[in-house]
Amino acid sequence: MIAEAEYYRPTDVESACHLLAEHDEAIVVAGGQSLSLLTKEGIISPEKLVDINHIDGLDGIDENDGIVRIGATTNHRTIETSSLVEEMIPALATSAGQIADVQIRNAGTIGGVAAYADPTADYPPVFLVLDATIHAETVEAENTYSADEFFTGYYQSALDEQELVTEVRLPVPSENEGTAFEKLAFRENDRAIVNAAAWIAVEDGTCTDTRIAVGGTTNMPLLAEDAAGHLEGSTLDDTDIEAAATAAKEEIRIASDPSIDEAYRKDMVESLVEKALTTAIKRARGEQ
Amino acid sequence: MTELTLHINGEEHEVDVDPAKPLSAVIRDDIGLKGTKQGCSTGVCGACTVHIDGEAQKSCMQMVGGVIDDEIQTIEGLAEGEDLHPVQEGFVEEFGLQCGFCTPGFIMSATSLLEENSDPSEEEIKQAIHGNTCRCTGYTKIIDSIEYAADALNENESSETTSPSD
Amino acid sequence: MTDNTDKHAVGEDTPRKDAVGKVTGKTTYTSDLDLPGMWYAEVVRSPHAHAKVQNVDTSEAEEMGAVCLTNDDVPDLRYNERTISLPEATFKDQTVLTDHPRQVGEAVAAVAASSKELAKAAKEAIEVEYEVLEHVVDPKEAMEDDAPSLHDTVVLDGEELDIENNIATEREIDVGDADAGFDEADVVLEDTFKTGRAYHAQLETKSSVCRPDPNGGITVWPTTQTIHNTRQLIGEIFDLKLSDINVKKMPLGGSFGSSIQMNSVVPISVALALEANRPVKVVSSRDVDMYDHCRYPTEIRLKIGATEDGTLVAAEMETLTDVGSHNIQAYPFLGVMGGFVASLYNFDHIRFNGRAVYTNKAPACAMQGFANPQTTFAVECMVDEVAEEIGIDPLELIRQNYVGKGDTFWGQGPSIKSIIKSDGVKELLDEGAERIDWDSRQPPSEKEGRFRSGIGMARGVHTSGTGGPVPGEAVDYSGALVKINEDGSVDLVTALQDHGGGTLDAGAKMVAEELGVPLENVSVSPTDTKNTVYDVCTHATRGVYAGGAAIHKATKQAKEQLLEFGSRLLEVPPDAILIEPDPENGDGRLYVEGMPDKQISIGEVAKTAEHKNWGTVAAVVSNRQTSCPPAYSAQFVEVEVDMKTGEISLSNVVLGNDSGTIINPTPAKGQQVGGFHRGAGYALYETTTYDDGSGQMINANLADYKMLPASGMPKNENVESFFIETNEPSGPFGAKGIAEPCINPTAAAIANAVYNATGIRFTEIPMSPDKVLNRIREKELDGVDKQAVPANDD
Repeated sequence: MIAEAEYYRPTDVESACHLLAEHDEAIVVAGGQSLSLLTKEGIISPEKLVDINHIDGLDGIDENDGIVRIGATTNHRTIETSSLVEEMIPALATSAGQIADVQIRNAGTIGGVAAYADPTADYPPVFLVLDATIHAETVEAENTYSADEFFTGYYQSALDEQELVTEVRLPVPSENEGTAFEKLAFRENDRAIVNAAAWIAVEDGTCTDTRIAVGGTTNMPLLAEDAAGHLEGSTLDDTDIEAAATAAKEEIRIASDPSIDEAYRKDMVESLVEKALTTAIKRARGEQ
Repeated sequence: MTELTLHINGEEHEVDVDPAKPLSAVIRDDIGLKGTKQGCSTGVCGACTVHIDGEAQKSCMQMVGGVIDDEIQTIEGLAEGEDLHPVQEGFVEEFGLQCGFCTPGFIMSATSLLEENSDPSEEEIKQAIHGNTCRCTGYTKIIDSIEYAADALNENESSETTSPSD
Repeated sequence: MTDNTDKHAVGEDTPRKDAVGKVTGKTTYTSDLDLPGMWYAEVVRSPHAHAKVQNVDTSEAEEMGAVCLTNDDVPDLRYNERTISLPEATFKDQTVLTDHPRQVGEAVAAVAASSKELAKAAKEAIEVEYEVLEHVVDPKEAMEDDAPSLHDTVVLDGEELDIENNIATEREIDVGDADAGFDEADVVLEDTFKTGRAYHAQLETKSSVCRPDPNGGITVWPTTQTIHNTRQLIGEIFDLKLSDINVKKMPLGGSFGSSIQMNSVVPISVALALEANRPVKVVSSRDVDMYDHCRYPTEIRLKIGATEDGTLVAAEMETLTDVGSHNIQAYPFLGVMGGFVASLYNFDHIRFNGRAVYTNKAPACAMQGFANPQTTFAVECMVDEVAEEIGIDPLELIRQNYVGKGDTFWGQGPSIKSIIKSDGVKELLDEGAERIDWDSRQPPSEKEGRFRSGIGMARGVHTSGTGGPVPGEAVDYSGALVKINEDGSVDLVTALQDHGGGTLDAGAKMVAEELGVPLENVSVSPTDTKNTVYDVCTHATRGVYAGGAAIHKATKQAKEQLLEFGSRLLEVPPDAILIEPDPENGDGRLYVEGMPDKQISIGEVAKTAEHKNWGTVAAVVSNRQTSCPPAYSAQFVEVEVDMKTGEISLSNVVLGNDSGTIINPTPAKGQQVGGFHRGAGYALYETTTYDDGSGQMINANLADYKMLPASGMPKNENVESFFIETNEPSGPFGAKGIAEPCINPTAAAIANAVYNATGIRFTEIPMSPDKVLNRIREKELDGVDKQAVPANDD
């Protein structure tokens, strides 16, 4: 008749994993921001909820040996305002700060965003270009996924049903490297029409390595490999950056969408990639 | 139904509800505090904004089962008896409202902002209220209201810290 | 100009009387209402854009203890939810529920149960068998012979009217001889304009509570702009005496025209309450609300002819509007479109043709401006172009041709007209031009680079109410009761509604001013249909001008009686007595000039009248304004266009209004800014779109229905506002209306600014960045743009 959910509040990861193993239909509640919408729209009827916000140590940001570790239940507002993140991985702070609004950022979590695999989400392009890893646990094992194997399709990640995301790790760019994130949405901070991230390493004025990722255009975020190819070994002149942006525009798939013109989206891929590269290069050169 | 205890505006409330029920609905229907509004129930308009452990959040997007350990503050918890909170005063003095339906949500976002940042710029105010929709005012007087409150709070503070010999 | 220097209430800024309740969250709106024993409703709505209901099985829901209604259980009367217009202009095609849903979201059944959860479960347990019909989303397709028919007939003035090709109504207006006019013209421009299917997005969704009363009859608490019209329509539908129906006026969480008509949840709440014999509450969810009402979208072909000396001689407008599933007010809508063409400029010749078409979408209804934002967008954009063709400044063209003092103004279409007596247009143009630095404008050809600035303007006009010397096709009068309490405080009792703009504060100020009492002594009473006389509705920018006039008249009559009582006590003729506020004593004082012994407070008069059994000082009136004076506006906008992304940002705006005497200064500015904000959203982003294949609205939520956020407005210091206070002789204290002129010109002002920045004329709104960029690309391909956008031009 009237369904009611069972609500669990485990206080450690192991108990949480046991609950997920025990109950097939269990759904993890982190920030709950996306979950709420799915429930209201009747897309899911949660019967068993596993709230992981009371697990000590599952939130938090620290840096060790050139790796920034962010606990799964760390909220976007914390990431946005973290001086550590702002200093070491500015692209991540930028992407966090452009999610929705303050209220949503106070609740939503990085682990939740990762697991939900919304193709318009703002963190994934940053994860891709930094070669971040996403860590998950089950009762039996601890698994590590690289970013480029993690996002597999439309709201699909590589996670098993029983896996619980515990943290995200991002390598800290070195001094000669720079990152940047750009987003386009028609109301500022709405779900992205297009977003893009860039990471670039520069030595003696030449690009030694780069990764460019674009999200929001199709069923998952994508690495723009042709675009990156245009830049590697180049001296990063305006024409090189333009060429890379144009290559990104050509290679990134755009899924059809009745609310926005495909040609426009392609143009914006080009525009955002150009902007992200410009900023990342400046940061790599120490100019910003 | 599950029996839960919620801490709202410094008081304990016992409710018997589905833990997955949105907090906004519990506040309004089970506890009877109607100041928190539901304008869209999909986390966009912000009319349901409350404080959860001091932070502004949209209560329509929060399941009640998740907040039983938290201190929740709604619009009803701001004024002290008949004394309005400076943010509320700001909205009165600066005409920051018209139909008033969005107003409690804006006030909760604004009080949260001013607790974090006592002298926000116009840009910072706009960011802080980005999650709140007003259809009547066009926002300029809302911004004025929050600036009024910031001034009032800073004045109160400076007069409090003034030593007797000044 | 009005001299308000000696006034103590009118023209003064005072905190709103409803502010404390609103900032503390204590004000009760309809959706906040809880009554003892109240049940909760859920409405079963069609998932199909067009269908026939074959069967509704409510057995399972009833077993749960819910009360259920299907189309068979409710009155089958056809009506129009909006009853402002006379019967000959009111097309009836609506029913309480339906077995022929004509849009996604139309109500086919309803349930009420003791809890929200139970109601929801009951609703889900109801099984509806639909025969899905072909649907049509495009109005032109809807007119084709093979299109599915939405309504075979409608009822008009008691007769059944056949509907052919889904044409809901048509209207023609002819003044002079347009063809001759165009022959005479030296410059003739013609273009097609399109405006979007915007949504009111009022924060409070439509709701209603109905309670059967202990001794018979019902009480209703609805979201509404008119308690009396709602009462009458409920009486008609449910065959109840008006004296058995009480509609309460509730604080309203915004409306913008969406509750001029009785909202469709209202009769559903009544039907359920009567069936359940207990109070029932219906609250719409946001997506349901988005399917409930929207603005009239238009496709406008406009042709304007002018002579080379700058005289506008002829205008021809052909309009197609897509009314959606029901014809709420398309006939008045078309009439006022033609009317606004005639009221913007003194064309010698006008030809107007309008057609309204049914489609399987949300029904259109009035939204702030009611045909004027649409008309003004087309006309003011084209006038800007005409000025350019002729080679004169648009402000000069406006000055030469605008409909102003002494001219005839078509308040609301061809049947409601008046002669204009107050006109601040020239001053609006002069001051606005100075503030924005109009003379510094460069033509588009001089603009270069990635970010291009431009300045544009447009002029707005709107009627203050729908009164006039001769009654037209709309009912328009207001009523008020003013009474002085036994301590000298005053109750203002009126059915006039305040959507949030401060209408009732204005009324209270008029009372305070006329009676000479401090404003704090005037209280606005909660009202309903049993304790008020008729007020038609707060719409058509009539709250202050027409509603206020009734309040003022009632106050003057009450004052006469007060003076009469005072004269008995002071032993002087009433004419010898003056009244002034006495703030020190918190009262007003009756006095006689030159005779200091002869004075008495209003409170004392009232108390003495009680003790001497003379009666209450009070007056109740109905009042019809015999004019509909235009309120004017001028908006000057500076934009910056990013030629690479198509984004338009608003850098500076100057908003000027002539509303006669300004009663509430800061709330009046609030109307200017709020109107501009909604107009900017209309110009840049707002529309609802439907999927052809399914007939579903693609963006039926507030995340995908894009309104301008706070960050989209210019910085506060760059939003300038000013008033030209003319004196309208027919208005209370010289006032005219304010609201609708604040949105009417915005889209054109922005489009004209974008033209000045880019050399591209946008004739379709919303001008979202993707559409803007498309046009920019087109222009570049044409080789017209002299400067290629440099790369990396941040």
